[in-house]
Amino acid sequence: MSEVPDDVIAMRERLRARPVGSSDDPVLPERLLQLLDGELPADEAEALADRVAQDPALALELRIAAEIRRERDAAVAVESEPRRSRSSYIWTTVAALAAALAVWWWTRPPTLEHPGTDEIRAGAVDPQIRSLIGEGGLPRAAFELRWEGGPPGATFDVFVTTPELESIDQAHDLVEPQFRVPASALDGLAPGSLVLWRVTATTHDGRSASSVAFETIVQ
Amino acid sequence: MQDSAPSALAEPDFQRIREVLDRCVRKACPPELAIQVDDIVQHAIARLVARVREGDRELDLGSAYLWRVANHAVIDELRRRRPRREDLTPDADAIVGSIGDPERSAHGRQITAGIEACLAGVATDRRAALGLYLQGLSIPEVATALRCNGKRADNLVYRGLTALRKCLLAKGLRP
Repeated sequence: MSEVPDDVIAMRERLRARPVGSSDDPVLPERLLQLLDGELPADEAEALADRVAQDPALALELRIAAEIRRERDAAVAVESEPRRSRSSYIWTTVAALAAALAVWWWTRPPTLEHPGTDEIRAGAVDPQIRSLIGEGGLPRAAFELRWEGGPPGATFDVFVTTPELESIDQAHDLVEPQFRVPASALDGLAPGSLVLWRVTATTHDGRSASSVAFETIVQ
Repeated sequence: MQDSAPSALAEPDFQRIREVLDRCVRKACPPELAIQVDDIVQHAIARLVARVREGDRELDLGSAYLWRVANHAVIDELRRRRPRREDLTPDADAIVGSIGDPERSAHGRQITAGIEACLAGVATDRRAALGLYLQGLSIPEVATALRCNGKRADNLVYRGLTALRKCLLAKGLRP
């Protein structure tokens, strides 16, 4: 749900326009910031958020705390910027450019290992290789990547990386169109992290074609 | 490491903080409080200055403490100025809608009451997520607050919204 639907915008405006009296049971303003920062235990967070849903006074205070938090985070980022040394700034920029180049390299349409004929050229990007993983992602304990398509009789190589292209795992010469990434390989990734993966199919006569880079969320 | 010699403490840039708080309060406040925003922020800044100087510490805009104090000062000031709930007249929000035609604002109040009633009927976990979302938080912000992953926050909000829409439709209301 990346875009805010029109009816939600309308509901937000209506709730915001409610007259606000005093709250029956005010909470410490710090607790609102703690809620927004994810610093309250889950059950307390849910209880407080539930109150926000039903108390216009608390809702107003939460909106203010949320705005202040966003300004705080922006200010913290700006304030820490000049403290970095010039050399670290240059190296950060170089690293960012290198990462951008690597992302381009990874996500570019695949080239052929043996170009020459139209037939092979047509096989360079194989749109028939499709991910069978739903948008909801996979649980880390059962992170089994599955796909379909590719030339008959092909074997598969799979490359799994982070969005920064750090290798997580890879496998070669798979006969079945599936690969299970061990949970231990996903240890460093927080729930909700994105994983990129790509399949290369190779036929017995050496022709190969790759899928696009698929994205899967670690639940 | 502390200096033994006293040094001039760098005070926060209160003018800049004032501008930021002004923006925050204006964005978050309902229209009925719009005319009080200047006063709320002015008094909050005065209290902020006092508290920061009491603390006798060097602070900059990147200080989490400074923003915590600012948040406290603004909300305290807001509470001080808010009418008691029992003093609110049933027509208090008619002031908000008075620019438009009365029929329209009456219908608007009916929709708002419908949203509140429907929201009360949503399951607690979904209502918690939806409550935050309807106050303008993004899905990642909801996930952070409720300490769950983005997918779960998205699901809770989506299912909460579905229930809310269905309830509003049953009441013949359209936001």
